[in-house]
Amino acid sequence: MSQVLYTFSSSHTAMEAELLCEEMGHPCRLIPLPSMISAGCGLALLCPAASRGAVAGLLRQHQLETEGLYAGAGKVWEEMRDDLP
Amino acid sequence: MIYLDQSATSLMKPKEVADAVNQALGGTLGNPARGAHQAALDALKAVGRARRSLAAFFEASPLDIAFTPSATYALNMAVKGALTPKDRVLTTMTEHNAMLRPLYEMQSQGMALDVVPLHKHGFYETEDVFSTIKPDTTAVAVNAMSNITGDIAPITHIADICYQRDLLLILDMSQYAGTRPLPAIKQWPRALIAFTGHKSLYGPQGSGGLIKRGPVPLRPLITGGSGVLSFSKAHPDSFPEVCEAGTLNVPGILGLEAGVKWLADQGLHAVSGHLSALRLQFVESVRKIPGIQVYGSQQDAGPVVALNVAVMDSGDVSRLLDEDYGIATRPGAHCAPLWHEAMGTRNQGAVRFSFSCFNTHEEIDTALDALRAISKAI
Repeated sequence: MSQVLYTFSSSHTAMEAELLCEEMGHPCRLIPLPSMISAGCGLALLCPAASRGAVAGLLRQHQLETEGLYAGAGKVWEEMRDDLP
Repeated sequence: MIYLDQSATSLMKPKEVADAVNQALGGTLGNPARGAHQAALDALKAVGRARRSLAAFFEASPLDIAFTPSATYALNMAVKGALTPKDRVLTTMTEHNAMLRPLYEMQSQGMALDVVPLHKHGFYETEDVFSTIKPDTTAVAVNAMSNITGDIAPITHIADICYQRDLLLILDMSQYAGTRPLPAIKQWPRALIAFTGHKSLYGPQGSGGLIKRGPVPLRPLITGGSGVLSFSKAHPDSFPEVCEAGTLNVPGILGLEAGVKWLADQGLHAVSGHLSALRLQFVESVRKIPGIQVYGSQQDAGPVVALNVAVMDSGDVSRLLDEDYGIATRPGAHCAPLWHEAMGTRNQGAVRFSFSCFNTHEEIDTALDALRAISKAI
């Protein structure tokens, strides 16, 4: 697992998440929502796995609702529980 | 021209607003939330930042700000999206048709509507809200500032009433926003607040929005592209998507953001002070001109004044001001029919003078001189 992917029901929520990450210096960026996760369109927030805890805390702090959390690298993504150990 | 029709739209805009619009049209911004290439993401980020700027201005959360083409759209979305035929809504005789007509539409579907009457000076007081409200009232839909007299509604008291009775507050801030410090919106538990960009927020025409406070489920008024959930037959009901079907007006939104930032730089207290001084200068002198009747309670008012010169048609007065003195004002009914019916000015209308940050005391003096001359001539 080298990267994690947060998905959102709203592109504007995804962008707010990216802006917050940018402010806090987390190297996250928006990418097209992979079709293996959901068909259609939309954006997902791609973050280094090492930032997972900090990003999860940031999203919770600002009450930004995520739809899912996935781990993977490249084209294969595996759904994760979003609560950290 | 001396432009005193700022309540229709502010004519002079800060340079920063035009710069922001030009920049938005400069060939770098794509369609926000439509794709993930750099131009689309840059547009989405620009809109996201604008949402944050508006949120900071209104003391709201960024994702509780939806961009709409105008306050009229926002009010239609609020009234038709949040209310049902089972509701009972309290409104006032000072409302603009942007509020009244959606309410009438809902009334025709069975919704009950109670209207707070006016005092003879042309406004209402908190006690009138108490005496009009019913035990089964579910929502209050009012403007924060009259677009005719500039009278300020007792917003804090109305918000308290809504809080105590668990009523939805639908507030039209078209005239209010940008003229004085804002009420504590963030403390309101359940509200929908409409604003326009092109009046006292100094943004471009075609910009505006709806602010959601607390849990207020909305049905979409306009459905279509949302950038998400493309295979769903229904438009998303999440906020702000529920109000933002179709491509956003990015140049307008960025111009609006620039206007709000400019206002914040000026300071709303300073802005309010200047506007109050202009209004006071105008009202104090105009009241002394024989034959002129000024409307409104004059207790607490924004930079808007309505008057008539004896029995002259308001259109004639406004035409004389324009043609002979180069002064732009607004005659007629100002899209506020209940107010004019209550004041007996349905036929005569009224002449509205409205001021912005860019107006000067010299311009007010010129307008006063013109009114003295018109009054003297009749």
